[in-house]
Amino acid sequence: MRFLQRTLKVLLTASKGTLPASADATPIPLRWSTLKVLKRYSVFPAHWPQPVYRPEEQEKLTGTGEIEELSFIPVRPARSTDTSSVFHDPRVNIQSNPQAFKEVKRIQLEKYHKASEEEKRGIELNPQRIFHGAIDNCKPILALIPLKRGGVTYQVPLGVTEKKSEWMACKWLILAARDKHRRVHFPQQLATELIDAFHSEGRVVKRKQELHRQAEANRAYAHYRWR
Amino acid sequence: MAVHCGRAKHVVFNIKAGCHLPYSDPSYFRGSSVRKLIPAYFHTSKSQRQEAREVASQKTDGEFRVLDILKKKSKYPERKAVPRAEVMPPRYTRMSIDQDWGSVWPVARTFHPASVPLPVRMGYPLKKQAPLGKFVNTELMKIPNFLHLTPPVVKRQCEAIKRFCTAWPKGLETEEDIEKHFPLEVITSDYVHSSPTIRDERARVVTFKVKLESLKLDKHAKDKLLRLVGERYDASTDTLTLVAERCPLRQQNYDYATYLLTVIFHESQKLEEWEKEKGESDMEEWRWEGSKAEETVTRLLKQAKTCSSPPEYLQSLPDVTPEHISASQPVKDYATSLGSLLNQGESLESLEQYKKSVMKLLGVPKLSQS
Amino acid sequence: MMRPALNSSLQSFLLGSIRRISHCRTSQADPSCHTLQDEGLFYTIPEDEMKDFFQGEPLWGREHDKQRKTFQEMSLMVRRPALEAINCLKQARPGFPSLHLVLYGRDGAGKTMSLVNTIHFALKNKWFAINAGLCSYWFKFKWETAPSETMEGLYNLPMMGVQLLAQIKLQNAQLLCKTLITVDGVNNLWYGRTQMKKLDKSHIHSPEFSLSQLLLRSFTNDWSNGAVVVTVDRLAGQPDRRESYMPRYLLGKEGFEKLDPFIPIHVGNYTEREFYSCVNYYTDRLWLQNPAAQTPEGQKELEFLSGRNPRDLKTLCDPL
Repeated sequence: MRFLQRTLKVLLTASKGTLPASADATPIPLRWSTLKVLKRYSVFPAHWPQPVYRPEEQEKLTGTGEIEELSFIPVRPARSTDTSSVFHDPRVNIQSNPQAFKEVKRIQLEKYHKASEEEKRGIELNPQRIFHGAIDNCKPILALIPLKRGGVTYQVPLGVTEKKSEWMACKWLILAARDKHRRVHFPQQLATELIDAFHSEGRVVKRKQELHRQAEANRAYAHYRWR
Repeated sequence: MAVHCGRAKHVVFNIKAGCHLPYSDPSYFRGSSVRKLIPAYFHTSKSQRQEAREVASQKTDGEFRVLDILKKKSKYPERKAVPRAEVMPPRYTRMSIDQDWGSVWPVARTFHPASVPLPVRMGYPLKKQAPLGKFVNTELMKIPNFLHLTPPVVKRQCEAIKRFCTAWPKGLETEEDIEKHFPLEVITSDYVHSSPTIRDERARVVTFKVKLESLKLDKHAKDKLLRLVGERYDASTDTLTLVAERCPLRQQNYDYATYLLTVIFHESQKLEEWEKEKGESDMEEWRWEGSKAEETVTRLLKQAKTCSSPPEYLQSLPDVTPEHISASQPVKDYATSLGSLLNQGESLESLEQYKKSVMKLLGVPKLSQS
Repeated sequence: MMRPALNSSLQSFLLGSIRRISHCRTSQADPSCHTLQDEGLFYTIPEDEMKDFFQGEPLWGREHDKQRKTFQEMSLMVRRPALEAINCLKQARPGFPSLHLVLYGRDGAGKTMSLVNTIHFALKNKWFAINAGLCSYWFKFKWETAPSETMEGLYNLPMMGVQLLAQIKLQNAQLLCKTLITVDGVNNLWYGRTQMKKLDKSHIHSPEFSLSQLLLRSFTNDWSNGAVVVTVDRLAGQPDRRESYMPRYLLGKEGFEKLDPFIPIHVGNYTEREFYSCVNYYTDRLWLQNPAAQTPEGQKELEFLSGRNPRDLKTLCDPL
C-alpha cells in the first residue's frame, strides 16, 4: 500500500512539472502507452476545433462573443452520442444499453420497498449515481505491464492514466456481465455487477484489488521501468 | 548600319541626333535619285525599320548612344495582326418603328438576333451580372418564338381567310352548348412533308372522345360499359377514348370506331343470363341492399325489439323486415356510414361516423361529460 | 438533437407551474363510477380484487407485470376509450343482443390497458368473463396440439385450453349474470400461419384450432345480456399484414363481417394532461430518478421524444 501511495505521489507531482528530489533526472512519462506507441491519426485537420454541443457551453460562448469565431471556421463533427439533451452524461451512453439501468432500478426498488425506514435512507435508487460510483470503485491506479529485461519478461507495476483506468473499469464490468448463466440476460447481470461494484463488493472490485496486490508484490521491479 | 544597294554604297542612316529618317515620309521617294534607295527599304522588315526609327528618335542629350549589338529577342513572339473584315451593323438599327413586322418575320423561324429590334436577355445570370444578351444566345435560339404571330399579322390573316369562312353557328357560344350538341369529338391529324412523298402512315389514326354523361346510361349499363372498355375510360374527366388505327385508311378507321362505339353502347344496355350470377366478389362497390350487413342488422334488431327496453325508433316500427328498417333514419345513417367506410376507405373521420351511427342504431347513449 | 433555447428563469418557472399538475391519482377505485373529470388520473386496483380477478398469466403482458411488482401496486390511468367502452357495456341487458366493441389505435397507445380497465369493471360488477388474453400468444409458439375429437378437422391446444379454463374458474367465483368476452389482438384469429404442423407437415392456420372456433362462435349476435370487447393490434397479426392499424384492414373482410355492427373506439396517444399525469405517477413511484426529469425542460424533452405515446414514454423513462 505504501508503495502504491508513493508511486501515486510521484506521478501526481510529475504531472505538475516538478520532480521530487529522490527521483531521476529524466522525466517520468505518465503514459503507459508511450512505451508501445499506438498513434491514432485523426481524419480531420489538426486546427479544426472540437464541437461545442452542450447548450450551457454555447450560452457561455455567446456571452463572451467567442461563438462568432466558431461560426466562420470549420469545426469537427459531433459524435452521435454527443447530445444536447438534458439527460446527457458524457460518461454514459444510455442509447446503447438502457435496459441495464432499468434493471438496476428494479433491483434497488425491490430492496427499498422491503427495507425499514432507516435502511431506506441508505439505499441508492438513482442508476446513474450507481453507475458512476461503480466505475469509480473499479478504477485501478496501478497496473502490471510485461517488460523484457535481460531476456526475462517481468511484470512491472506502472501507473495508469485516468482514461485508461476508466476504460479498464468499464471493460472489467462488461466481461463480468458476460460471464453469466445462459438463462440470465446480459443487462440483468450487468445491473447486479454495477450494484455490487457500487457497494465495493463483487467480482470486479475484487479483480481491481487483486491487481493492486500484485503490483505491491512486484514493487521490486518498479525500477525496470527505466533501463 | 550600312546598306548596300547596287553600285553605290550609301549610309542610309543619319547618325546625327534628333533627325528623322528620311523615308518615313512618303514624299521622300518621289525623286528618281531616291529610287535607288528603295531596295534598301524593301530588304528590311517592318520591325527593323520601326526599331531604327525608335533608336534614332531617342533623345540622347548629347551623350554617345550605346550600340546594341546583342539584340535580345522579346519574350513574347510577335503576333501577326489578323485582318478582320468589316461587318455591317445589325439590321435592326436600320428598322423604323412603324415598319410592317409581318414582312420582316412572315413565318416561324429560329430566333435571329440581328433582325429582332428588342433588347431581349435570357439565361442564368452569373453573380452580379445580368442574363446574357441576345447575340449568340443558344437558349433563345432553342425555344420556339411566336414573333410570326403578332396580333396585327393574325388579324390580317384572319381578314384574308374570312371570305372563305361561314359564320360561327348560333347556339354554340359556350363550351357547355358545344358539349350538349356535339358530345362526340373526332380527332384526326394531317401531315405535310417537303419531300418527294406526301404520304404519312400516322394520318390514318382516328380518335373518338366522348363523355359518358352524354351517353345517358343507367347504373347497370354504365357498370357493364366500364368493364367492357377497361383502361380506355378516364374517371377524372369522365371521358371514353377509342383509338382506331388498325385499318390502312382513315375512312376505314373512322367507320370502325363508329361501329365500336355503337356496339359498346348497345351491348352495355343488354342484360345477359349469366349476369344474374354476379356475386359479391364481382361487385364494384359495396351496396347495402342484399349485403351481409343488412342481414345481420335485421336479425339484430329483431332480437332487440323483443328485449325489455328497445331503442325508441324500433318501438315505432311495425315489423322488422329489411324494407321497414331501411326506411328508418338510424339504419339509413348506418348504411351510409358503412358504405363510405367500405367504398372510400377507412380513416379516423369515417370510423367516427360509423361509430356514431352504430351507437344510434343500438340505442347506446353518448358518454356524458360529468 | 436540436433543442430550443433555454427559457428565462421566470418563463421556465411559469411553464413548470402550468404544466405540472398537483396530483395524478383519484381515490375512486370503482371503474363504473369514473367520469371524464377523472380523465388522466390513476386509480389503484385493490389487493383483494387483484387476487380474485387477476391471477395467472397477466393480461397486460410480462413487461407491465414487472412494472407492477416494482411499483408495488396495479394502477391504471382513467382514459376516454375505457370510459366509452364502459359506458357501452352499461347498456347490456337481458334480451338485448350482445354488443361488439373494437379498440383500435397505434402501437403502444394503450389498447390492452383499456381492455384491462373494461375487464376490471365487468368483474367488479359480477359479470361472467372469458378473457382470451393475447391470442397471438397461442399461435406464436410451438405448443402441443392434438386433433379434436368433437370438432371435425380442427386441432386442440390442450395447454392453452387448460389455462383458459383455470382463469375462467378463478375469475368467476360469483354467480353469473352478464357475460363479457374479451380478446386481445383478435385480428390474429382469422389470419395466421402458426408454427404448429399437421401430420402431413403443413402448417396449421389459426382458424383451424378449436379454441379459435369457440371464440368465433361467440362473436355472433344471437346471444344477449353481454358484450364482446376486442382489440385489433397491428403487431399481433402476420408480418405481411401490418400496413395500417385500422380495424377494417386488420380484421379483413371475414372478420369485419363477423363483428359488424361494432362500436369502434379509438385509443390515441396521451393528451397533455394525461402525459404529465403519467410523468408525475412515475416520479411518485420513484421510477424517474434522474433529477433532470423533474425539470420542465426535461419533461418537455420527454414529451417531444415520445410524441406522448405511452409505450415510448415508458421506454424513455426506463433508464432515467
